[in-house]
Amino acid sequence: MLTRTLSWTAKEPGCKVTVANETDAELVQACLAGRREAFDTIVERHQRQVYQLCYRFAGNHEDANDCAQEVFIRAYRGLKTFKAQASLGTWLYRIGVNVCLNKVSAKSRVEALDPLMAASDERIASHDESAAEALLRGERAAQVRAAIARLPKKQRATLVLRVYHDLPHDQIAGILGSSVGAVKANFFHALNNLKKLLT
Amino acid sequence: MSHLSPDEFVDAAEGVLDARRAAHLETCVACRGQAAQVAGALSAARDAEIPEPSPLYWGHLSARVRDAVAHETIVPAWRAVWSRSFGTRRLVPVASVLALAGAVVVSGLMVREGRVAIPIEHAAVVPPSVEAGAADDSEAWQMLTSVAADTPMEEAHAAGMGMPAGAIDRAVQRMTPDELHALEQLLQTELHKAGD
Repeated sequence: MLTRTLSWTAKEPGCKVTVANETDAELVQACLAGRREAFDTIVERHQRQVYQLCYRFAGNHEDANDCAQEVFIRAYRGLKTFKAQASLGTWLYRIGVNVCLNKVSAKSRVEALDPLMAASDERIASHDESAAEALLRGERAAQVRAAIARLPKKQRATLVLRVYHDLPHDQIAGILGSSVGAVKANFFHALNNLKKLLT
Repeated sequence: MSHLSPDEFVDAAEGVLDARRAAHLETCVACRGQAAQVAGALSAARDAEIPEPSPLYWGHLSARVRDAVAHETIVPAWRAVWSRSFGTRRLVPVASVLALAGAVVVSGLMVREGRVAIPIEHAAVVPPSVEAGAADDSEAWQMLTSVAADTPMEEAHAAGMGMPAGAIDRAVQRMTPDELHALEQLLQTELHKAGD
């Protein structure tokens, strides 16, 4: 996927540039110079993380899919405002959190035990695990996802970014526009509420 | 020693709690119970994987994004803000009125300060009895706003209605509160009309 070669025509017609080695900042500059193909590479690089973030918020594939698409469309439109000193990934997370907070309502449908989802969960079962164990694990994971989807938005955002994207507290604070103290407090309450929802 | 704060429970769950506070956690039953709850929830959250979409999905997502932005160009931020606030449709009448109103204000101030002498035949066009408060009702003002609304900026400049840089700023700084209020209302009316 990342070894694709692009024909860029903006400055040097016919110039072949392998985008696999381009940094995110270089890709952004290429986009701003009118090379649309560079944005394809940005999407390909970050779509999995963005989709997973959206899925953690939404709790179902359809909403996650809509949100992920919206994140990249907004990113494209706002690319000019991206500051090179920040990480593109963090910037996309910020857009993702905003999209999810706006789009995914508290009534969002959560496919707790959707057959397709259960099948997917079975796919990720290890070889040593029996079918029954895999099913139980899948059900448990679905319950946790459903519980996370019911958390208040800020708590959900904090928990998702911390647990599943491994972002440090200060980066989460930057994304959510709050202090590190508030992030830690939100995380604490998110875990407490999660525990209550799971018992 | 006080019980752990929410921050410290998070630190404990993440294994970075300060040694002194960790010593308290060892001995305090209440804190240990709470810390166990937090750690349990964290562990449950970590174990909850999400289903992996079909391998074909990623190509579809990329293609949909590409299609969605295919006809869009990335515009500089200032231009986006400008076009949101003052799109072409809104800009023409507002800019025209602003330019003409500015020209009137600047001219008025220059006349008042004696820097420009109005020839008798031109001075007669605007009756000297017209007062600022009655400006909205005067025929001259009606005519001026009517012309301004239909005059694009380019034509106004071509007709010699352009002003030196900073002239409007200086004129506005010299306006009385009533004049400022009237100008604000005028601009708001035009913005409102343009937004209809």
